[in-house]
Amino acid sequence: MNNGRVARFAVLISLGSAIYFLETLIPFPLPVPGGRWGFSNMVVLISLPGASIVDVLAISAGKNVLGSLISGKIATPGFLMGLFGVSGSAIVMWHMYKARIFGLAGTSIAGASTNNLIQLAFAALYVIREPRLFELYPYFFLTGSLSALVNAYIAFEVLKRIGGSLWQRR
Amino acid sequence: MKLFTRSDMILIALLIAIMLLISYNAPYRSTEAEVYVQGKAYMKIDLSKDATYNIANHMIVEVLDGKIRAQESDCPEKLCVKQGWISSPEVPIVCLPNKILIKIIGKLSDEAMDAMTR
Repeated sequence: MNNGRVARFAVLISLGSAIYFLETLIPFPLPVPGGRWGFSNMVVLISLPGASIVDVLAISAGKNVLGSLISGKIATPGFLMGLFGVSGSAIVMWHMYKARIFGLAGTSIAGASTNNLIQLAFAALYVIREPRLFELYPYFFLTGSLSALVNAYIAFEVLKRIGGSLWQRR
Repeated sequence: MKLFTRSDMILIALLIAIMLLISYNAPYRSTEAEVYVQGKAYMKIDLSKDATYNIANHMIVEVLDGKIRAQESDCPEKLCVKQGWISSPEVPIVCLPNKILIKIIGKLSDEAMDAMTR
């Protein structure tokens, strides 16, 4: 790993965990405890073009671990759920990027939906054991898609200015 | 990467269709309301049948389309009547002067909410 790559990882992970922490200041409209917007996903979107699946997983897991550490949520069931959620969504988004037919908006929304699905599944099957929690999924989809579209637009503008990929340029 | 492609449109339409399906198949399955008078369970009301009930000669509640409301009450401020229809467990109808509580059971249990908060 050369210095440039290390620096890019550092910037993305620190930006991601800062957003992860700061977005808790934005009120979440649903009366659902533990709900969050998911704006930190934008760094994963920015990292996508030219990245390997390991890079994407490392960035999304890194921002979550660091963000949870800052907000004092590490080692709670919610933290583990979040980690599985972002990893799943990172895998889905990377494959969608590789498929070459999807744009940032679709990739972002699919990633958010995957994350929500994994977290709800975890809560419904293991943590709370209340299958009816799945009835909340459409609400999470709505808020998740809203922030996902914002993420996609920001990532699009960033990628336009850095020449399409974070990894190939010196 | 482009911002928006035709595949995105198809994918998003598909996802929205799935969400509509979920919310259509999952109406409030709360089909019962519990009534408490003076803190004690007074009666259970079946919300699938449209009817009116008299509660302890203080209040008349009406059930319509799975919703329930206090139609009349002999309390002074009639806050319970002003509250109108409820159909979800989140906010119960409370009449403080008569010590009547009407809450819908089902959907998310209180334990589930507590566990999520933790």
